Amino acid sequence: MVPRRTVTVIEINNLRVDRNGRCICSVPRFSVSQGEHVGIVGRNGTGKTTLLRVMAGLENSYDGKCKVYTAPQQRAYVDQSPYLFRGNVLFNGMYGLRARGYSRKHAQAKAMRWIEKLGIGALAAAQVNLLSGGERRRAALARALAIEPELLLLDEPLAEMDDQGLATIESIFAELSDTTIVLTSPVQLSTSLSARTYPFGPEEERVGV
Amino acid sequence: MELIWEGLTEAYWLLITLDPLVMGAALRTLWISTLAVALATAFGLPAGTVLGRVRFPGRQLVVMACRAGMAVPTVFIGIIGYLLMSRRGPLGPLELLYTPWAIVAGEFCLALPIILSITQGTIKALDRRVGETAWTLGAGLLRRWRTYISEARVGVVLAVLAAFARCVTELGIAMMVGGNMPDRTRTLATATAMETGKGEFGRGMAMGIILLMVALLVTILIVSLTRENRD
Repeated sequence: MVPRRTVTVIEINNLRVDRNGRCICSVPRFSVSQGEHVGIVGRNGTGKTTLLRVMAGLENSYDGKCKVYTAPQQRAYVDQSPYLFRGNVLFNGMYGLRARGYSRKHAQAKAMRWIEKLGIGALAAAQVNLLSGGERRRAALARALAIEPELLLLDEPLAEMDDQGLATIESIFAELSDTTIVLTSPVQLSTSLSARTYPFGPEEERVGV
Repeated sequence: MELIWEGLTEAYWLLITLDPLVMGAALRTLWISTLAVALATAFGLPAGTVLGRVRFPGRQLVVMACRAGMAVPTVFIGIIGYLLMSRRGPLGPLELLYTPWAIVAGEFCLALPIILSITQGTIKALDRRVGETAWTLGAGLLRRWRTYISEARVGVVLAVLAAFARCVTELGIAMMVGGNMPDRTRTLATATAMETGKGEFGRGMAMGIILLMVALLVTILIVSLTRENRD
């Protein structure tokens, strides 16, 4: 039987990010293959968000090597506190699609599909300033998923999520078997969310990648 | 007190009967100021966005210059405009002096630093996640900038309203480069000054009331927009 070739999507070696003379993120070695769902788990303040931002291309001042072999247009990043643009949920859902040249009608249909999958179809016309924390996260996730990225970077996507929200995300992740997903969390993740866990924290607490 | 009461009464009748002189000055003021502010917005909005988002050497100096420009007296702008547009000035061949276009040009110079400065401040104060989110969703430069302006729309509208209020009520520019010519360059402010000087308090008061109403309307809009933003 011929073994399946794994394509590396993210490769990090000796990454170090310093701010004001202090090391805020240190990663000796980390890699992610295509289609993997990897959870970066660690306590608050250990640099998980910084690592994700480096992968997203939002942090460019670092030492070491970080190669992401997915084009920026094929990446999507959802912040720990996602920002939703003024307007309603549907407008936000369409944003990335319109940026990619989709027609209004096409973008609307695609965005609605994901908004409904995330369980907030009834809120499509709702202004974003009226959403709860969990609804905002779902709207931001729908916006990222609507562009069908090859690489999805999620910073603490489960915060403020109720059981129903969690179940919804688990079922969506199961559908996205071809999408590479890297998500951070302060607590251990179930295997339905991440097949592999990268423990993040001080060097001595890391078991291995 | 009797003088004020008589003036107010006459002003009331002039407004109710749509006195041609008063209405002519009012309409002229409105179109001149609207055009000047529209042109200043077309330049000031993109420039203010650049100043708010792009770092370049000397940016702070440019910002300071714009802020200083907000406080320049209108009569000073008028003097400079006069020197430029007079027959011996570099713009003399354009024959703009004592035309409405000269006032438009002067009020453009008045409105531009106001729109530039307020837009710059508003855009700079935007949450850093606006640009990051737009970029990570694949928005190109133009779409990102449209997003900045959309997110800062309340501040941008406030900038335009503030500039409009300043232009409508200004006297120095209209007097210096417009010349207060009847049916040509007479604005509400110049007409008010002239009519009051002639002893025509009623007409002066009528025009002053229109100016006051414009200022009040702009203030109400600013307050309601600010309240909406807080909500």
